[in-house]
Amino acid sequence: MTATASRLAADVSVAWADIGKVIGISLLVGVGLVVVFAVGVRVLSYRAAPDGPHTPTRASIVVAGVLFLICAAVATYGIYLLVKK
Amino acid sequence: MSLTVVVVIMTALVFDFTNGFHDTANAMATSIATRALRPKIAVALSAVLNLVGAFLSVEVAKTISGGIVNDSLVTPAIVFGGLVGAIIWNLVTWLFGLPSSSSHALIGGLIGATWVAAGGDAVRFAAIVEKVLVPAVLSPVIAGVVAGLGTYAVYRITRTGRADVTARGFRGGQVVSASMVSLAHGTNDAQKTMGVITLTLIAAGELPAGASPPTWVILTAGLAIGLGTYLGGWRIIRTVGHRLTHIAAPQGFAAETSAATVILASSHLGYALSTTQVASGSVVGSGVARRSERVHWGTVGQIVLAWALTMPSAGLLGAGAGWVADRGNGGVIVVAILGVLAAVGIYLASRRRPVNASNVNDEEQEPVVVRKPAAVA
Repeated sequence: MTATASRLAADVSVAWADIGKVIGISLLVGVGLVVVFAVGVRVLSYRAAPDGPHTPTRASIVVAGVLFLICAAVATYGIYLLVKK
Repeated sequence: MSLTVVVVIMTALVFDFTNGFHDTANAMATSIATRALRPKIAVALSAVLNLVGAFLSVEVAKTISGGIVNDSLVTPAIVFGGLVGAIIWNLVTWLFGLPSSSSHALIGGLIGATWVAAGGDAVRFAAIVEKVLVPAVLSPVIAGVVAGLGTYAVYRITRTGRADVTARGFRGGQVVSASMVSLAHGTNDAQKTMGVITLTLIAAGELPAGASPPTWVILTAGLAIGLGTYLGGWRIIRTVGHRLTHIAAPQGFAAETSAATVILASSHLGYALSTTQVASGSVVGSGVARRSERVHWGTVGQIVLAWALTMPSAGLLGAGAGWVADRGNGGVIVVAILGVLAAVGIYLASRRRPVNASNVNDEEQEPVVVRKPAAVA
């Protein structure tokens, strides 16, 4: 068991740079994507007419559409990474 | 094909099946809890995406086959013992509704069986620490921090918006984010079983060394995990969806996006981490960030304990099963019979308090750990 333990200490090489990359990418994409989507949802709350059922303004639909497309593009890139692997 | 090889392949498919229903919660628990998807629709969607995911990637998960144990010393009987250990542990944790890692159960079972049957030298401890243990500790924390920041941002941004528009928007987003987690799960976890079956076929001389999984292996493994997913691990879905914290749609979206990103980023760099741990970490992180809802730390503690116990427990079960199975065909049959009896017993125990699509969202609070009925003796 002691031999195993010492061999273990010698052999283990944790790739901290890779782990740093995972943390960086996850923070950037995981939080960034959620922010972009949330802004898209938020602008849909601006209403075109003061009365009647809620209808978003034309501008907010366009902005939300572009933001949602960005999210969809990132998700598609994620699928591409899965397939390519 | 020898009897042992046939038994190993069937056992691997059974493991894949338990892997499916054990892990439905990873992708779908938050979507079911926020009613973004109806329970039956959610598991059906997840099942299809798991099946699709099994076909997406052609490279075998080498972490399982070659990385953890020395594959030249492993026999089909050892693989069989490891699989039985992993299946039993998966069923026990499912009975208690605990989202433990199916991958760690498989790795633990294989390590245990290899250790007793082929010796400690056949186990690659350094690779296990580097490729399994370090990611196991770090990944739920990373996922939790990302989900927490995302949740905080979402509530800041949408605070002044209309509640109905916000809820509907994020339910829509959840369908996509949950699908991504399901797809990533299919490519990761179905691959592990395919790797085990292919390894067995190579060891038995049915396939040349270094062969890719034959189509029938990909198809059966994909179907097994898809069928398991469709049946739904409702006990675990209830734990992740309701017992960690109360989840609202924006929070579920942030948690799922975090889980999908962490899984994709790390598997892209060659780390096979536990989908389950990442998903649970995300839910806890999103609960912490949303200060209006409390996180049930008692449940979190039980889950973390189950995570810590998974590799040693599956390892001990795998060691026992592997030692007996390695005695010869008689040993394999004994382990098979004991394994089936244990599975039936656990299933019957689950019938005492069934959890299914109809009551998965019931809010009644009962302890996660089901007390042993006194009538057992």
